[in-house]
Amino acid sequence: MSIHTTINNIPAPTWNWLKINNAPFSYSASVLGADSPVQNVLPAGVSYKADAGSDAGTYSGIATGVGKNIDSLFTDAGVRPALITAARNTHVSEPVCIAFNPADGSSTASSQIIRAEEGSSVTVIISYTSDERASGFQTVRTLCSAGKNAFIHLVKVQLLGSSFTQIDDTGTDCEEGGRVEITQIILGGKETFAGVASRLSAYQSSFKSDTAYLCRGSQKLDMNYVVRHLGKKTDSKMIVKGTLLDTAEKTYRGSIDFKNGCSGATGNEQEEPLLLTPSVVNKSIPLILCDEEDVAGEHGATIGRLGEDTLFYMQSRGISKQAAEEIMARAKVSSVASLVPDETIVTKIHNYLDKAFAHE
Amino acid sequence: MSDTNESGKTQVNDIDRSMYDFRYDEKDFYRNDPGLTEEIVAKLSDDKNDPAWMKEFRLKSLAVYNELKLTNWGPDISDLHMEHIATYVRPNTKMQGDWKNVPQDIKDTFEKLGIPEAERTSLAGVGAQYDSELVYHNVRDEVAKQGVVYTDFESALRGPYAGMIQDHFMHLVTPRDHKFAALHGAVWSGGSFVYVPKGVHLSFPLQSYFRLNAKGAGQFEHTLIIVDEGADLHFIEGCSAPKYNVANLHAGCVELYVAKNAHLRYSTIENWSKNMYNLNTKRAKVEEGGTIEWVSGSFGSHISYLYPESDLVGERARAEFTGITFAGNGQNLDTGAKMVHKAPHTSSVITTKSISKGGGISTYRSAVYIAKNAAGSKASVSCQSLMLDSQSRSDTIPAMEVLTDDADVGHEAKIGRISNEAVFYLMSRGISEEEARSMIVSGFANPVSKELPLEYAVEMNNLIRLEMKGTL
Repeated sequence: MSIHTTINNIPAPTWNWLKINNAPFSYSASVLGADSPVQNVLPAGVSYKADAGSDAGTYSGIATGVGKNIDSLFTDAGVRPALITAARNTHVSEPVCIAFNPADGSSTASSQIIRAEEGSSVTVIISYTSDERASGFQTVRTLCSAGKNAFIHLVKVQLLGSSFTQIDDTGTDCEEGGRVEITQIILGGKETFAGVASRLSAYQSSFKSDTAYLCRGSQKLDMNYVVRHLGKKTDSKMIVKGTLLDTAEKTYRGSIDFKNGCSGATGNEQEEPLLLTPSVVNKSIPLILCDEEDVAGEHGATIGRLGEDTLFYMQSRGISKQAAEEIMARAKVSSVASLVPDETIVTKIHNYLDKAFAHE
Repeated sequence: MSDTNESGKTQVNDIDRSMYDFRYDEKDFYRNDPGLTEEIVAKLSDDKNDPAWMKEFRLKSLAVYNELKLTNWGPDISDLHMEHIATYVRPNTKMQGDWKNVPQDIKDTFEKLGIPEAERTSLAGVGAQYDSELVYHNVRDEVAKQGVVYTDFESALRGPYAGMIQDHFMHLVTPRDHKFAALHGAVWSGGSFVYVPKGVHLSFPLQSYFRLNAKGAGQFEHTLIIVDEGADLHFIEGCSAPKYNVANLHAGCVELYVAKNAHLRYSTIENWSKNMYNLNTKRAKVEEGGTIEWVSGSFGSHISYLYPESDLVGERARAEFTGITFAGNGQNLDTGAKMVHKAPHTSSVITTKSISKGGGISTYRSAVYIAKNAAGSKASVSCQSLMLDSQSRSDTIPAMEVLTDDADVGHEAKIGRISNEAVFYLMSRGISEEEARSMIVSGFANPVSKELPLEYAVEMNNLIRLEMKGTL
């Protein structure tokens, strides 16, 4: 297959010379459909169908962050999404763990639908690991549908090999009082495109995302997060933090879109990239689009090296500049990793960081 | 000023523009054919007695205009039809250095706008453009004696500063920048040239006022200011037009050169009528230790694209942009700033406020670019938007690109409506609700109005008070 398109398109474009409106994407090789294997025993109250079958159509309208321009990757590969369902009024304490371990040289596409029925709550952890130097291509699409007063916590941890290209595409939709939280940690891969779109169409539905990254060497990370507020008293919060080293490049697009009629809605996004070497490239564009009077939207960004006060404080306690920078870089990932309810995955994250900083 | 709707909520009426909305006939004026062809541009150049290089420049710019496409972002300007726009309207007078020689109708226009009075009381020099040409230009003797040059652009093009003009004209903003910069290159007319010699500090501002009286016409004035090493200037630009039921176009160009350790403040109050397409381009180049300060109030126009750019090319160069945009019914104002850090230890600050009401659309758009060699640079962006009703729209689109670790870039933005708590607090102290809301909006705009010259600050606050009257 061959695809030449743009992905992670921003909802309101700006000057083309900034090259931030979207990410050009090309791929020319066959992509195989891959299952979404559940690693643990399914917790009580959760059902799993390897092939969602005709149910998939119910969720096909959920918009995603990377966008429709990669639909052909899934259709051409014959991908059939898996369906994970939390039964009505069930609070599932154990997470459902899906682990991808793509082989060196592989090229795969997978998709999952996570449905939390009314009053239920469920956590799904999706991890991506491979050999340290493995190469390949992986695209994954996850659709979340939270029913009335239901809650989905989706965790995505990417620890792929240093020559992998990955597209991680997510879309969420909530019914009244429904909530989706996404915890995303991106450490591996050569080039990663991550997109999340959240549609808050129902009264008091809400969304929260916490994202952390470490980009080093010549890694490239391109993100597009979009929250669309349509329902009254909806709420969103997006936090993105991470560190850039060497010649790494990162682009973050974060959009809060208040549609007309979403009175009482609130949205907030914060970005904190830490830049530690002279040749990094950081691009950020945090948008607020507002078509409703009765809302409160805020965004903030702090971009740069370690603050002088922080550095002085640490150095006055005998910590070298390099050690202080490493502590802060780790802290950004660790603070998000603390939201991952699986010790095995958290340990893998810390081991990955140990190796990353051992190379420095 | 106010009406009550079905929900009992008082509607905010539009700004009373009657002080700007008057017009005179184009008696004995020259107007070229509408549209944009090689013949029209060549004739314009011949009529203006351009030097050969300028005629060639115009025709090349026209070719670029025909080549470039409209942007794929920003407000829709597909209703702007160049084939209906007259690009050159010459009033029935030559440029005058004495106010009493200006024709009566033109004189009346500027009298109503308060320009002569301002010249007498608080300005070091004034330029007044009516449609496509300057009709009056004067600078105080004591200022001229300091070597300050403030003249109309056409005179500068043919006088002793011709070489300087050729070396700088459309070098900062090139015709290839965008379609309407190319249009400007092809049909520019009028505008001012200012040169402030080394070390000269002007204690009073210079002011140019641009009035577009002609229906269905464009105004394409060019402003070129060179502030030499260690010099200091405050330049004020004002503009207005009467409202017509057909489109008018403003595609001016401002190029500012700020030399080493020089300081330039460029203040603009834009109050075009609501049939105006304001597609203006402004850019400053700032050398070592120099400072550019932009103060901008955007109140008029149907559609506006306006983002003054500061190119900080010398070490420790500094830029500030302070702006307010007020978008009412029928207005789509896309405004902001660009800060380009190209040298070490440069700094920039953007502070903007925008207010949307009555179905108006206000977009804040900015770019902060820190180049790889701009180590030690700092940039700060703060933008706040106030929505006065749910028929309006307000977007914030700030981009930041940082190519070095040794930079400190901060950004914050807020959007919302007038806080009920703040209104309640003021009312509990005996202030009426209407007055409380007006006070809150004036306070919201205060960081901008306090940067304006006094008479403009008063005018802006009056506009806001008028706007807010009856907003219960």
